Amino acid sequence: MTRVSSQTQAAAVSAGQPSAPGAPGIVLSAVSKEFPGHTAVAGVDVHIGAGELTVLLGPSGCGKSTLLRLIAGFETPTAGEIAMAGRSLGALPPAERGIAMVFQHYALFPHLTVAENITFGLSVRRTAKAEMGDRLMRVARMMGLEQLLDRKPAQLSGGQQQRVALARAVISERPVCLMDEPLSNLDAKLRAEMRVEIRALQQRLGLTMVYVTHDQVEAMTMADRIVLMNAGRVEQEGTPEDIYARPASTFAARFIGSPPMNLIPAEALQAGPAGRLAGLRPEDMHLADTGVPVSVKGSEYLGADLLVTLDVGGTEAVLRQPARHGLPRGERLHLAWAPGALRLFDAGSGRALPHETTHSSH
Amino acid sequence: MRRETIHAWLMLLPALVVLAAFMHIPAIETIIASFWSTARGMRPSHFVGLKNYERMIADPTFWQAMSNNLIYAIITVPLSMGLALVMALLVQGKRGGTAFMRMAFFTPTVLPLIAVANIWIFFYTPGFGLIDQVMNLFGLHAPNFLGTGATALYAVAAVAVWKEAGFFMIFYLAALQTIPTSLIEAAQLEGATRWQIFRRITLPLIMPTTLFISVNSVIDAVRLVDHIFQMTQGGPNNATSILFYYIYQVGFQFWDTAYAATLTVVMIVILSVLAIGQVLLLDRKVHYK
Repeated sequence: MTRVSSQTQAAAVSAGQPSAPGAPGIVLSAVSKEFPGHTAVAGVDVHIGAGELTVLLGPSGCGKSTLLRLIAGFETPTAGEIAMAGRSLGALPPAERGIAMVFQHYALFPHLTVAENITFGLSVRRTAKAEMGDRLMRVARMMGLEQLLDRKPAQLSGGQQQRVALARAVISERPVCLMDEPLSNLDAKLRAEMRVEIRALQQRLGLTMVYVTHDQVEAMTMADRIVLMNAGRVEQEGTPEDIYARPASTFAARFIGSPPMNLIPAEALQAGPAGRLAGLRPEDMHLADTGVPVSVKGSEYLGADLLVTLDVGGTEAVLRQPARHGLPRGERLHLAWAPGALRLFDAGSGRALPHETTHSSH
Repeated sequence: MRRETIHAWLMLLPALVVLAAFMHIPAIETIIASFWSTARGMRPSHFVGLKNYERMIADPTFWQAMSNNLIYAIITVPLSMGLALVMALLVQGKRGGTAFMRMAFFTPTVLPLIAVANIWIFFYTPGFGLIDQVMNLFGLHAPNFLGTGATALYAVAAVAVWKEAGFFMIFYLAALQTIPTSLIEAAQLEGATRWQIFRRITLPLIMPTTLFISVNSVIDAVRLVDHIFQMTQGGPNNATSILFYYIYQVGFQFWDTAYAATLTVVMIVILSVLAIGQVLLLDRKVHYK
């Protein structure tokens, strides 16, 4: 089963890449999931675009994995409805939903070879041997696994195991692919490589991909759309640029960006009345001759950038500036920011206030 | 260097003394004794070479014990293992009542085999035994299971299966719980049926446990004879005399210790060959993590 003649290999090459034309969108309407003692997902409305990569982002315990398992059909929603391509999924078992999935710890079958792992689904669905061999070689070549087909998962590195898990999802040629923190077990360098690779794969195959992660860098670099979740609810939904530039709440402001958006009482910046928080991205601030008086508390050198920790009227804030400018000297420093960069939030509810009410100091 | 050597031997000494006194020396003495005659009254023991083995080959009771034991093993090994796996699959997970079922399945293991034998004597007894009473409801009469040569061996084998399955279930239960749920979910997602998941994922992943249990159940098929003392004493007409029971009879009822030693050597050789064979045969098919 693992060996395929050179003739069928040639045939596989001419057959081209697998693709999923017309990958469906997924619509979640008022979806809730309650477990005994706690509510994991509370009334979530999300539209997952066809052929798009949607990232479910949030801290651990925010319900993002539960939401993914609801889409997969491993859990049934307590309330609400999930529809794919306009058709309600109801209690359809996972196998009949037209989805593939990459699990957090890959869930490779330890007793089967790489080839057997990849073709497991085809083999239980009784696909013809010849077709199975064709598809295996095609996917193995695409994922760079040709030399590893006879190995067991334990003989593979983390990155190779990840590729096998991806190959198993891709070979099914199902148009929707769910990923549950697929990169969390890899080291930083490999993670960066796989981010690019998964994104390229998703775009090449035109997959509708739902990708769960707690890593905002993964979300920012890969997503068409981000669904930011907190405590079982959707905090904000939008493109990475949207969420970064216009966070809808203090939670979104602090979760996205590294270092996160500074939240400073508005009156300290003379930017608004009490009970308001002013949000400023570290890179939107600079030290100037006039403006809000601040003092330097410390700095962190990152090579290209220098992160300067400031005391702004008793609140800590981080400013990012090119490292070659050096640490500013002097007692009397002043803070200024780019026009239109300041966002105002209600200190009580944490929600963003309409942009009109904010005003820049310049 | 010398001090270390002495230290090492001192550390090993307690275990060495116990092992040698109760295992190695008796084992070697048994082998030696099988080449000597049994001392009787005025005639001291003397070297007889292979005479004891020749006698054994000509002994029809030995052959009956061997064939009894073979049938006993063929019944108890697969049945106790199969039943253990079925019970483990039943009580796995957190459905209601599984805790009670686990306890019920495990109870026979906790009971001493002698007590188990007494319970089963009550089941089997003609006239007022449980099986007879149940059959009476349908106007039938149970045969005398233990008193009839044709059924006695199966009757005692059933007791061994009942006693062992619960014990093996615990091992299977532990093995099943080490299989990550995500593997099962991955297989479900691919459209595998419950049977396919069992055959292609679960069964191969619990193979190390299956190997362990199979070696143990084969050994038990030779070793577990307590209930035979209580229920049939090897009868009727040697129908339930398996090898180990026959060795006891020869050694401690007929006091023919040399011949008993000979039979013991044969039993040990058979067990060793079986255990080594099982490990060699199955090891290639077993996936260890």
